[in-house]
Amino acid sequence: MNVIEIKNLLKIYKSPFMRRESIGVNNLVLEVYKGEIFGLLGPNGAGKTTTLKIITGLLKPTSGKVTLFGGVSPKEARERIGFLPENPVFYQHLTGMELLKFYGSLYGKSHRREELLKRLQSVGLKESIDKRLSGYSKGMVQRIGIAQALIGDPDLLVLDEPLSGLDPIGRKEMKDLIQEVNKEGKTVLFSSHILSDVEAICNRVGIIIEGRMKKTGYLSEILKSDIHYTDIEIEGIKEIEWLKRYGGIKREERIVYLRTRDEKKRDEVIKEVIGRGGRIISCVPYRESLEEHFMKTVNE
Amino acid sequence: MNRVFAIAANTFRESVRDKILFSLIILGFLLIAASKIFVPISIGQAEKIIKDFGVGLIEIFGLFIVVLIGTRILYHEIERKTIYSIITKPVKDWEFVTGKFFGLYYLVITVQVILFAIFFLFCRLYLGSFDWFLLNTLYFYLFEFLLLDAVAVFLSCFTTPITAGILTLLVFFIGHLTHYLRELVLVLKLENLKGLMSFLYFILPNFSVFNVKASVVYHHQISINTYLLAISYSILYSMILLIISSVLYAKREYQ
Repeated sequence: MNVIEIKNLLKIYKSPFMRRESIGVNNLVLEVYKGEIFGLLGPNGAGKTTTLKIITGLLKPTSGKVTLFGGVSPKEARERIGFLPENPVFYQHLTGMELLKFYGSLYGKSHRREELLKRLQSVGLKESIDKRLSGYSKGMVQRIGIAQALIGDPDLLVLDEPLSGLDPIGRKEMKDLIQEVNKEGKTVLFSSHILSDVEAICNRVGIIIEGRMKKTGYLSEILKSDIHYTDIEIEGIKEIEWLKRYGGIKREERIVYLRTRDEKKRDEVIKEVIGRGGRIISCVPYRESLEEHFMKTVNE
Repeated sequence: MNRVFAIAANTFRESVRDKILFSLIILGFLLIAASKIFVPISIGQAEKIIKDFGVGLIEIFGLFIVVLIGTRILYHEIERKTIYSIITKPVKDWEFVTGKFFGLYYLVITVQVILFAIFFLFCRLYLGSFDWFLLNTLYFYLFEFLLLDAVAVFLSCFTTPITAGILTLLVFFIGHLTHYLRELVLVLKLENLKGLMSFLYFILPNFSVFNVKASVVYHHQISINTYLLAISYSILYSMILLIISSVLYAKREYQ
């Protein structure tokens, strides 16, 4: 069962007084599987936030079909969704504990203090439970944002740019938190600009350009097909001329460096080196990074 | 109803912690105390002037809260985007609108009750006694502001806070006058205006239903029907406005 299924989604923003129209997303198709971390990538204005807002019911599609959990509309699925908006703003007059208690009560049940404390602890805010949000840093706001998204124990977590504005430590903590939540069995859909972070934690990614989904797939599939070259370090070979047929070579004292662009040749050379009594010190394939792949997709 | 109560309590708590409530009460206290300055020019009517001034001031404060805070109450949530994390939870549109409505109403009731208590103390200190008949005005104010609160929430569903504020003020003043204007048009037989006045009379809330200030100050008997009319009219009209507001709100999108 797909947790999210979007077919031919079109969203047109209409200016109420002027005749101006702009397209948010156009013929967008997306499937998010149960239990995965799906990263939505795209440049500014590509339609990432529009897509997430439609999934959470903040926006209505102009046309197309959006179903969650095997056939439920976004509004009907709210009980099972946790949402962290981009640059979230919460009630500044409340303390962390009060905020969580308030959001918990919106699920129609009261949460015990111990439960709330546990949730705050899980996002690293145990020390700040009685501090008002007006005194929270950006990182703390993001963390309380995750806590409020998790308060209803949702099956699907939708996070809009959860890593933006965080320092490297904050980003690492947020990534760990997303992975932890995913291990609990929750499906995570998030958008981000920070490609290295997406690459580090996502199972699958989707690239949106100008409102259209240009590419979706497992990271391993997307990047595997694009191995640029392999660098091999070889030791114990005296004669090196024969290596030239496999690729470019360079000798530095006892070590020979070989760069080959062909995977078949790579396997052959390894066999031959060992057959000639040599030793492979290292063999490193250089794949296209997500960033390079993303840039290529944008420019296509 | 849990969700409505939670949203209402949060709205009220925000006003209290933002020191709005405290500031209003201090201002009210100062103004009630200032009624003393009218005494030297009152020519033996000090008690009546203080009573008139006190109950009038408390009403103006209610109006002040609804117009300045009530018309911003929904807009503020959208402007700050705090609504994103509420409306994406299992909260129905009517629960959100009704919660904000009651949150504002708690604030109005609290300010009215506290100002009446200050007024009571002031009368005891300055006049030596408090006229308990004045409490009738509190009863009518509570239902008057229930309705005005609903008007403000309704208007703020489709206008900006400034426009909603101006319109709420207009509805309040015209609503106090339509009863008299309709009578005037009928007495003067102004046929051209008859249709317009009847339209305004039946469409706009009739706030004269809650106006018992003169009867209270002069100790005229208030009939049980007047009490019943005030409560039933206020609740029914407010419910209709809240239903329409919820329908309007449900159509809203959050870009």
